[in-house]
Amino acid sequence: MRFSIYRYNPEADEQPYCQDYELDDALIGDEMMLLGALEKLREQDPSLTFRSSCGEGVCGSDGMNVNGENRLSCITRVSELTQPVTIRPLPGLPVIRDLVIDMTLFYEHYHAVEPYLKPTPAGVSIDLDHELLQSPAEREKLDGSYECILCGCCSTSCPSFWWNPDKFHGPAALLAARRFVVDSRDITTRERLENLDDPYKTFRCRNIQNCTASCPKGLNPSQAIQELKSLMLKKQVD
Amino acid sequence: MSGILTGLKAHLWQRISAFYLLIYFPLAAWYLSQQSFATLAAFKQAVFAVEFWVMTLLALLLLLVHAWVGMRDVLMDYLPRKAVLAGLSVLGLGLMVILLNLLYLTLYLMKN
Amino acid sequence: MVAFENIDSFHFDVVIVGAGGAGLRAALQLSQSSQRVAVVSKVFPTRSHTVAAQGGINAALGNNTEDNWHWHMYDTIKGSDYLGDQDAIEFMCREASEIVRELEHFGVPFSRTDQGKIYQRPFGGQSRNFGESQASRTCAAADRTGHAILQTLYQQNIQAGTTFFNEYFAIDLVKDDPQRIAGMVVMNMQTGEYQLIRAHAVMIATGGACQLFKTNTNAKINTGDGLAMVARAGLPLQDMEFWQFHPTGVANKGMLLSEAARGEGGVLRNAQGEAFMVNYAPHVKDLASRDVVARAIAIEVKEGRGCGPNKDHVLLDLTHLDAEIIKKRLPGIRDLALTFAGLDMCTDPIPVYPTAHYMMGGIPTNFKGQVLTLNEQGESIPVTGLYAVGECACVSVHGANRLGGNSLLDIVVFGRAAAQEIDRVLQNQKPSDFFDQPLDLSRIAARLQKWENQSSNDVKDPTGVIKSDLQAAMQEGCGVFRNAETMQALIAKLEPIEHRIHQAVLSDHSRAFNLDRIEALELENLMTLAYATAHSAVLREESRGAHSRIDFTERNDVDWLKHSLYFIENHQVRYKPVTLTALTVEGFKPKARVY
Repeated sequence: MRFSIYRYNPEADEQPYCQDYELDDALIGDEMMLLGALEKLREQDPSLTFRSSCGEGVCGSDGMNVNGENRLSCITRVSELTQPVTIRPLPGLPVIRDLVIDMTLFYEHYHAVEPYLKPTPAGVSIDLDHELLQSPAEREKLDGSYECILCGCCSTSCPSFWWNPDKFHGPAALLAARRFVVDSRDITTRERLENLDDPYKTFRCRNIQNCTASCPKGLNPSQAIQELKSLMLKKQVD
Repeated sequence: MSGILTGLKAHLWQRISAFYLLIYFPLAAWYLSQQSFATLAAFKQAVFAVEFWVMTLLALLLLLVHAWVGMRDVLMDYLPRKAVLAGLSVLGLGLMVILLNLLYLTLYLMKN
Repeated sequence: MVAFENIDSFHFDVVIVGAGGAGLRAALQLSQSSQRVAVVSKVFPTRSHTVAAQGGINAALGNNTEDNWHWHMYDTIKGSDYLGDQDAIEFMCREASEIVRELEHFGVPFSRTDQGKIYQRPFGGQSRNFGESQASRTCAAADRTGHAILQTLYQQNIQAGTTFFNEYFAIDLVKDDPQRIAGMVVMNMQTGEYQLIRAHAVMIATGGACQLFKTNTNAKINTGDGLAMVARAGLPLQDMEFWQFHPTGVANKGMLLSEAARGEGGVLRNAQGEAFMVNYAPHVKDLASRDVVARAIAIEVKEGRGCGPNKDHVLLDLTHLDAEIIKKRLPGIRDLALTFAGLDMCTDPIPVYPTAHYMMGGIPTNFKGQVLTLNEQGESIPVTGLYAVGECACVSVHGANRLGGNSLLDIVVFGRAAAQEIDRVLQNQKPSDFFDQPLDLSRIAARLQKWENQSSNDVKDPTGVIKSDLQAAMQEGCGVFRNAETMQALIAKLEPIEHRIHQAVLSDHSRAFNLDRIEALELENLMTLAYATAHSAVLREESRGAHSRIDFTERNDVDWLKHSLYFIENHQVRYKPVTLTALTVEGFKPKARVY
């Protein structure tokens, strides 16, 4: 099986380039995931660099662009890919080395939406003798956004994020914003929505839907952003 | 410039204007198809009938709003960050000129 | 040359290595107490392995069935095969309800009962009224509880303003006198630079190390770095012979399928379709303790009743359950089975086999998180400035076998308790000249220098191959069943493997994000733990919890009701007694363990 992989070592290369690799088909079973193939390629070339950890699609380390689509290598079957398998880093963010990108901006946007529950007014401590009650129906609203693993596949597939990576929050951070806006336990819904009302932070979203198409967990950030917009509208009318 | 119609308001106006234009255009097409354009006078009478002209003027105004939001978004996306303010100013000026022309046309027609 | 004369140095009140649930819970407590905290992690915090915990966290909230902490305590002690320290177990079980409610207030999206309370499911080894009937004690956020808790704790730390050193690899501890820990040397993975972080208190929270075994449920990062650092500092590792094999990993692959699958009603079947657990645990069947279920599966396969063409696994069957329940309560593991086994558990049974899952042993601590060592007289004494929490620590609340749902509890309870203790100690003493003491970093430099050696020709023995060989040897020598012969053979194999590590050179010498170097350092750490495990295991001549020996099949409380303490120097193993007295209630006396 043939692979074409993006290579860049800041100490040795002036320009990034693509390197071709060949992996013996006998080594690739029907069930091998791309991460397994990359590990085999590292045995040939230990300088090939990529992030990985859990190997089962829950930690979000190994997002990469595979044949033009953003995916997690550990849950992408090699047998489903057409040859040569072209692997590039997630697009739109600076490359540190090979497939490892600098996700600082991505994380900064996540931090900027204040992704933490605020169940009490500032200065009021929480009551540890009782849990906050939440009905199963209220809890169900969190489904589809709390599962996000921050792999970055969505934001780095979003043209709006490519154009304004420093100002547009991007689908992942907005999905996190939505998770706290709809949480029945949070008392700052209005402030959260007001903070998101900005031509760049939220309204760069053009409904391109690349985010939803690329989410390896099957989540729908695009719909979440639309939901935020309509919640802002509702708040305005109230 | 970018202070005008930011965030949610811009989004809202874009939707409202789109909604109105979506209704206006088929309606206008239907209305005009019912009219006779044999003479200039008949044409004038049809187009400048008060109800239709008010609707048209509103459509033109909302078209300007729609264009402002849409064009603004495109400029914000594609222009280099430093050129955005200049680009938006030019766009704003252009739209302002069209707006003034429209106002002049309206006043002119009202006088006649 | 690796030279540390001009090393960059940072000063903090507390430095924590590891950003999993334990490290983050501790960091949060300390940040909120206005201590200056640095968290060092080799991955971005939400990628730590806590994220993979599925089933839930135990607390006797009694939301689904009547419950109290005393029953939880009994179950945990029985589950530990009486090797757990009862003072620590009482402490953990008493704190459980409050700490879970606190997590809920932090924002963890727990599943809910119809009354709006936290949903609780039954798990293995849980009982009401000291063994009478099944309890439902495991608080769950669907089957993504670890993910939910880890994300929430990271989010709380954002709010609290904790300082993170993400993608920094901890190399070694630094002492400023033989008895006091003063900081650590770390490597910035993105630039390859070495830096020194000095702090009044150092906390190890580096999690588990099941990468030591060939088939495991653990992430690539679980290489026991913190344990090896502690061992290299001349301090002991406790109970390293006890490794939990989770009964239901995807066969031949290792991905975890949570105990929640059986908690929600799943059944294990052999090749004849027989639900065989009734033969091993007539009372609670599939919800027996993990060591019991893992052994049962291994025996079924060994006696020829395994499934599949190679008869090498059994089946986890949920097909009799309502598909809607599976989709709602177990969406994550259904996905895992679809992805990795290509099977939908709503309609197909899933092939499973025990896989290495959890390290019960670790860095010995008391229930305040203080790291303990032995003095000349064989008494336990705390090490000044050093704390450990989470899977890397051995408090010991899990003893010889951990109950499902107790690991998430362990990390948050002791993360908070250790942080409170550090805060208390630092209120009284933060010597102003602490950071002026000169430190000796020469041993660390020498260790790192080894990996700078260039090879004139091709690298013949890459570290990746050595790691696979080590994992295979460990799996064979210290698996579900052990005997003197296999373990002696293992020790004989470890020496040549260590020799290969000494001989190995890197093929990649660049600084930026050099995986080759990081994996070599991780391999050194795994090697240390392999020795600790093999030497502790071969000496323990009894079967207790996860340590089951074919040549010593019975538990022996007369000779072996004690903790092993492995020291790196000469592979010495010493012992200390188990604490059988609790804090406020009477301790539970060891008795036969039947499920």
